[in-house]
Amino acid sequence: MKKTLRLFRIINMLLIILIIVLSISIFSASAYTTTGVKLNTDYVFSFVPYQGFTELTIDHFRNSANSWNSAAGLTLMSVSGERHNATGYPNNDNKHYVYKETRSDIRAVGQTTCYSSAWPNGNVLKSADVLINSYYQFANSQKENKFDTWSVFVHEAGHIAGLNHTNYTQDASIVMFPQAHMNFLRRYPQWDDINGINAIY
Amino acid sequence: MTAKKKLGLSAGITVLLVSVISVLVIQIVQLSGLQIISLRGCGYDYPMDELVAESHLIARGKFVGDSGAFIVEPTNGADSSVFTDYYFQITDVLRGDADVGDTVSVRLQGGRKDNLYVKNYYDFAPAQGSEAIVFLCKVTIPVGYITNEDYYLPTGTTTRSFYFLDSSANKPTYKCDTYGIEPIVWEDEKESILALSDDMPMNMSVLREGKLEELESDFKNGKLTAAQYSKSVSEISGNSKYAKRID
Ligand SMILES: [Zn+2]
Repeated sequence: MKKTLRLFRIINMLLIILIIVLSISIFSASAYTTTGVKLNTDYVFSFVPYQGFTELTIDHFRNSANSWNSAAGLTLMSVSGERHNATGYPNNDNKHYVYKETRSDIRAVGQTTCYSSAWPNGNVLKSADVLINSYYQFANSQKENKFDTWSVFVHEAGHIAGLNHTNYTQDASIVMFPQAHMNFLRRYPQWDDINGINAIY
Repeated sequence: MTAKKKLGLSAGITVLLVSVISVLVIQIVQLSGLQIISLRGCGYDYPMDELVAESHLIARGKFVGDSGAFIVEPTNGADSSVFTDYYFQITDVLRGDADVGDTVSVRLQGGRKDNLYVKNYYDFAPAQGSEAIVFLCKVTIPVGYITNEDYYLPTGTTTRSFYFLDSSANKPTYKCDTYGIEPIVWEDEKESILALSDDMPMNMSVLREGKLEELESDFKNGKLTAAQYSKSVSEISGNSKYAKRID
């Protein structure tokens, strides 16, 4: 009788442990994925914006960089005081330019090109460029028929920091959600983005 | 073991070691010269009406093969990149200038050619043999990577532009180095797409509307230099040069 009772208690305990483990794994289910290529934390990655962006847009770029920095607890990236007047995205010139071009050949609202080598140092980013594709219409706020530049840029900066897309079925408010929406704000890293960046750095 | 046998064995081991080492050295040399270019971005999550309005060709058919990777050298000073054409054989035309039985090319960025390795993380390569309804557009303005050939681009990213009709969609191929999220079989929208009539209104200027006016005001406000303004205008009006395809 005692033996059966003890066995019952053990089974009971095992069941409780199982339930706890299962609930932890369900609630902490991560959606983020990483690119496998991270920033060299010995340097601050500095974006140089195109001179055609307004100061307000550039402030929004700066806010994006800062929000990733605070999510990571590290100064990963910044926006330079310099401006460039180049066209011809992307260019592997180690300059970290943010371009604004009308590119009907690129079927994306925003795009990031990251340069790395296969070997050695394959997991460290060599350089990157960002395109804000003015084939689509942008605004510096939530507006009908326009994409919010801040929301697009914070997503691209997330790629440079080493985050890949979440799945299409995930919450669209996560910065690393794969698609962009008009008349919609997605400006700050969310729980999943924050978990992702902290898994990298 | 005789001396002869011993000699033979050690010679064999030496040959094996030398070949393994040389294969490794060749691989390392190749890898160290390999330029990896990773593309990531966010596509527009087109609502169906806009997807329809922006598409020159909406057709049902099957992906039957691909061109293999080739390099495109743009004329705007940007880096060369790698592309692959996917061949799509049409079984039904919902809209556009194509006939049943035609095979059209759908161009996606990504692939490995020589020392250039372009990984596209937002489009997936369609599996050969998969049946789909595709939303395609033809960009004729010679901008960026557009070459002077007869081919289409997906209207949005492939997730939005390729609607698969069979389970083969669940087996995407990454052989051309497109790594996007898995294709989705859009059960909800399939019926409504198939019910689309071929006299749907086409409005290719949905998103380009006001573009020239915007450039003009940017120029007047000093956001664009005269050179940038005329370059952008020529890109939109079609006076710039096509990119060059190198097979
Ligand atoms: Zn993205």
